Amino acid sequence: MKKTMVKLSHVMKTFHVGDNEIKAVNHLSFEVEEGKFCIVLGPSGSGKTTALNLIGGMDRADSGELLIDGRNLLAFNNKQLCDYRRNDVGFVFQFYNLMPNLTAKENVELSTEMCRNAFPPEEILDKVGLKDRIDNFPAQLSGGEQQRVSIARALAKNPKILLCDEPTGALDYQTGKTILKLLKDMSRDQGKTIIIVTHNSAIKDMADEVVHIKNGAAESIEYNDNPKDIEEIEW
Amino acid sequence: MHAYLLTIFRSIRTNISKLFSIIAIMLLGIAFVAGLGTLSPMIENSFGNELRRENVPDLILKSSSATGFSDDNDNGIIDVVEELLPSRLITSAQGLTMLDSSMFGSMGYDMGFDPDMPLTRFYGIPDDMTIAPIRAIEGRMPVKSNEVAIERTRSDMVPYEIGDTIDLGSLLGEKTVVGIVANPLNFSRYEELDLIDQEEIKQIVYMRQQDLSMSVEIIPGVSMEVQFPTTDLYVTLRGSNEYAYFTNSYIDFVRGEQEKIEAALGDTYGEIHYLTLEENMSYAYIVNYTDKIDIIALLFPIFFIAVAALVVSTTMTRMVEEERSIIGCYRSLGVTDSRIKLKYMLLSLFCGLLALIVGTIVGVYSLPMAIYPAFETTFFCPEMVNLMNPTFGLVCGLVMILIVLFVTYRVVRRFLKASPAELLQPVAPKSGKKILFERIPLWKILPFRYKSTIRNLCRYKKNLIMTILSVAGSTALVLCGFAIIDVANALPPVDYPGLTDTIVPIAIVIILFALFLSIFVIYNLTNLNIEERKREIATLKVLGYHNKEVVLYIYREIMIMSGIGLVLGLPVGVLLMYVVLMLLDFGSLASIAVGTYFLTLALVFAFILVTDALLLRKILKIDMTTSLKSVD
Repeated sequence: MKKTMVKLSHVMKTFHVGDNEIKAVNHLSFEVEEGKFCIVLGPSGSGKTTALNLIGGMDRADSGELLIDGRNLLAFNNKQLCDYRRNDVGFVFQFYNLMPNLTAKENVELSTEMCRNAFPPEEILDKVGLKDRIDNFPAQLSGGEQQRVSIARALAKNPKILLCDEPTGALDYQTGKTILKLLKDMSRDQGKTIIIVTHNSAIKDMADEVVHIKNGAAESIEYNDNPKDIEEIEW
Repeated sequence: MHAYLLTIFRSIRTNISKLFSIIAIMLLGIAFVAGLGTLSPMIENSFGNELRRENVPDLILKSSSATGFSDDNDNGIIDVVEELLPSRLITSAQGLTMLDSSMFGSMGYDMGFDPDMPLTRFYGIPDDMTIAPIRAIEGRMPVKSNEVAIERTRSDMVPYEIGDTIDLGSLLGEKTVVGIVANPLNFSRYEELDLIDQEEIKQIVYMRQQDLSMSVEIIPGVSMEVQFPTTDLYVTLRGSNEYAYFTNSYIDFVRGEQEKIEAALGDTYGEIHYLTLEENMSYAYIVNYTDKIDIIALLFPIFFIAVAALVVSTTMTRMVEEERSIIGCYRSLGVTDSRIKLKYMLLSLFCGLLALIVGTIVGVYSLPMAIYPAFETTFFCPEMVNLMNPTFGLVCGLVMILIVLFVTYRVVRRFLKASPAELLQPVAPKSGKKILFERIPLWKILPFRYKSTIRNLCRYKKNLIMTILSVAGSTALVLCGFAIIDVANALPPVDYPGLTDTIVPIAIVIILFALFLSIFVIYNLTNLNIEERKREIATLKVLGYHNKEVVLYIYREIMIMSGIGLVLGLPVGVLLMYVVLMLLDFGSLASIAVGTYFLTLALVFAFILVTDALLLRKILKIDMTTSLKSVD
């Protein structure tokens, strides 16, 4: 039995917009085992991004229990949350969020220079297939290449979990596929726990676990004992 | 049309902090210029009104002959006046005697003065003075031959109180002080100078004209009371009240009339000196000060306007750039170009007019109030008459408004040249590139965060130049303010009495305004910098950068830019000071203390730190989820 890396039980998050209360995450409960590839699926407005923000320590849940590797994020102070983001979480953004004035390698260094057990940036960039582009600036890279830098930046710090928010959302079909393959390979080769948030249900077959979110709660959870290769999936 | 107006109001609301800083910077500049510009008119009006009220003479005719304007019948004054009145040159005349203790010897009198007697000026005045009447401000005027009044003391003059006795030599004898008086012609607090050696007069004694006399032994055993001659003839000129005091036209007029009087009188009365108000020491001080203030009021505003216009233009440019998608939207909806331009021109005009009106009012009202009391140390000040001359403020404001309108027009026009489709797409973030600096070996060993900082500095060149120029400008102004104080303090007090007292408060005003300007400038530029890079900041937070590291990431750049500006500001300030001294025609750069440079640096730097501290919250408040949104 593998250990549980991420565990949510009855997590609540309410936003106040004017006089309205929006329960973005409403009694959300699910678990992800270490080294698993998990996809959180849901239409826009379902609360999946909020859930990702809570897991990533970018926002704070109101109540419930949110355990990462056994530690409860709800009990963390701001400093602890910051250290958690720094050492334990790798984040891949939909729009890459690279620093435009830094080269690919420097963008990776941006996150490695401050965390404890980071990998050498060149090594990671080589792994994501950007060996020849390490001195290029983001503006000189294609969307897919920029997302690779973003993934390299997340992986380089050797995090416990990798969180991806619509990582293929801004990419074309073919590029999106190669990025998902890269994430899948990383999960397999390095034993990283990966959570991807997306509204693209077609890719669910490649995941070990699929959490369907609706109205802020987990509507159903599927487990694939034999996840498909991304090459086999069409959408 | 309704919806169009609505977008203007919305723009005001969303950009309120930018608009506010634009208005604040313009307002500060305009208030400063308007205030400085109104100082001279205020001083001239205040003192001019007082001179008019006291009916001071336009001309003083001084006779240096032994008999003065007196003749045997003691009606020489009447003779002169009778000669002048038909020519209708003068409206009134009045004779009196004024002698300095140093003059008697050369006139052949031995007054038996005590050798230790301070240099004394004697006035023999008629009973009913109508021109520049001497008035008792304490006690009363003398009515007996053994009574005198003393002019109010100032600086190093001998202090007297009512009831004191004063020894005026063996011939005049001891007199009792019965009053302290004010002479409308002596309103500076500095000593008058005696007519022979230009030495400082230490006491001024007033007595009845008939009492300024002495017994002279004509033949042994027979003495006679001899009255000193009437030396001075005060005249007021016909038509002089059409001219304002302290103006060149007034003095020109008086000089013109003087020539006519000289021609009318010929040399009937011996040698006559003609003294206009320009030869009056108090009047001359005022002219000297207002001339210097006018130079400062003309020179500093140029600098102020330049810095303010620079910053306002940057901000306006940023605002229009941020609204590119709105402009794109207008265009795709078919709103005419001129109407789009109108929106931004109206916004600029609104800011400019608001700053113009409020700035002018605040400036012309507050600056004289702050400066005028300082004149009390140099002059016996009449009540302040502030005409609130708005000319300088209006001119300065209009120049700024024109500059801002011009910049706005150019920025909007640039966007109007692009197609709506281009405008609706998000602008690609400025790409990074290798910089020259990287070719230096030092680059390799530089800590990573400094590499990023240096690249950013080079990436936003416009930002870099604006910040450096603005900080340098503010620093230069502050340095100048302090330097003026240094130089004024080093002036020989004999040559420039009281100038220091007058110049120092003006210098302090310059320093304060310059510091405020630096606050607004730094606040504005840092604010722009933060808003421009909200996404980068949010990303850093997600990556787990601590608050301190995030803040430093932004502030390191600002500190470097400010530092360069600070250091550049010193030579610029020295240069400005050089021009100031040249125009003011006094002092030298060597008088600037070394400490002044450090004080300037420390003060401006402290203000920059405080201002940036105010913006800390803004950085800390940035929501990490901002990083998830698309580029917009």
